[in-house]
Amino acid sequence: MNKPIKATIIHLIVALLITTALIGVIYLLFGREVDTALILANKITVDIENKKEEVVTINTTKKTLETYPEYGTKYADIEIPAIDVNLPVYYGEDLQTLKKGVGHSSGSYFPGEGGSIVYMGHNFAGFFRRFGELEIGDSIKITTNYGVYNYRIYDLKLINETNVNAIPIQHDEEILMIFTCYPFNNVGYASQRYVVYAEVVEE
Amino acid sequence: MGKVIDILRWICAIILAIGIIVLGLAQIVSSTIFSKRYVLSKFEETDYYINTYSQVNSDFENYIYQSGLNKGIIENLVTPEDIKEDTEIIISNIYDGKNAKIDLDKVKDRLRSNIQRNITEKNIWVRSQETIEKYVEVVSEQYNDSILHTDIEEKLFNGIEKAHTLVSKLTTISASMIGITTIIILTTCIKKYWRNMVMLGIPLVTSGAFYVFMQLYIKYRVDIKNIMILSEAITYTIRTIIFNILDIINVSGIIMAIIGFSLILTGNIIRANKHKHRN
Repeated sequence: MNKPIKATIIHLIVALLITTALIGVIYLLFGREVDTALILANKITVDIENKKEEVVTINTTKKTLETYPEYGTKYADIEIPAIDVNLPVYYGEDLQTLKKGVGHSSGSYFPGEGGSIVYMGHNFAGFFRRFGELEIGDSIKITTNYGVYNYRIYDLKLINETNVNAIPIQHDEEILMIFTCYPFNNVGYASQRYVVYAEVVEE
Repeated sequence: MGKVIDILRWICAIILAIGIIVLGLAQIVSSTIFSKRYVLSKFEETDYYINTYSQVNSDFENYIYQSGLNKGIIENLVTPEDIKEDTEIIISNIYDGKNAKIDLDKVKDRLRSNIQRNITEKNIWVRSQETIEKYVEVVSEQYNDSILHTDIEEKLFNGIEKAHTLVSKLTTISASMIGITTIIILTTCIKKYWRNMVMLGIPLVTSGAFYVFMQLYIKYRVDIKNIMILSEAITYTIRTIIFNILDIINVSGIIMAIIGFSLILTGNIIRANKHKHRN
């Protein structure tokens, strides 16, 4: 091989060896920090293309969901025959979700889990505009892909929007709480909430 | 003595490589994410203002259902020009440490006027003016949130200022390292200048290879194309900025490696020719 080319190859190999040594030293000194930074960066990534849709399942013995629906997705339907309501239920409480149907507060339990279930919806026509017509004893049916749950209304309350005590989250008994804005034909911002409380109807 | 000088030259070459890597990265950071002009140009390039305009209107739409009014009330509350103006205020707060507030009054005034027009046109009975005022407040705050005008601007400015100071220090140190080591390499072997060409070429190839490896490693480890931050508009801009910075690192690395390779090859050719003439 031509002498200068041979020498150049040797020098390039030396340069690459120095690069490898530098990378090695950096990894030894800051390896953990670099790894943490890269892991944190990956925490803010969402692989939409390869996302699999989770099928919601329940462990009836433990009374807990084994797989949860993804935020913003539909997982049930709610029927309130007394006011002709039949709406999809989405997991989530943001305004984007409430545009599509009834929202399920992400801090509450799911039907069948034996705790507080908190649903919410807008009060316009087709949604909960006729909430004021509901009476104690009216039935509510929730159909999920892991089971059908029936409830009976036992209380109705008008609360202030900041009164979170009126919608307590507990895990002692299954209670369905559904609220909407009040007054129903309000113009502007509604700062009151009309809450419907329902208990499970045992089969 | 000759061997000591040789060892010194190799040590200098390694320090020179480190200096080039640090200085290059400091320069790339200074001219990209630490540059207000660069960030604003990326906002423009990625249609950030138009995308945010769509996002803001979509966010406003979420508030129509609870208002008891029709969609017309959110029409023309803001324009892409308003968003550009307000974004520049936020960027100035972050980069120049200003404490300017976004003027929400224009949004409020337009919303009030749209609501009044809607109420008059549809002959709607308003129970309380208070609920309308509260609604105006909530919607204008939503605009504030949508364009990312938050309380952390001051913290971001402090962070950027600290990082700026660090980068300035690193620039001075690395530039000094490069200057001193280059002088040592050149002065310890003045006559055999081809050896100096090789000795300067090696750190350049080292730095170039390091840059290429670094950007490939980051691209391999971080799923950049799926990064999601706050809104779609800002996500797209941030992804573009990250890819652009990695491209700059890659191109800089390739250029350095080519220059280094040329120096090494030229130095070795000259050396071979000198040997040939001597023999």
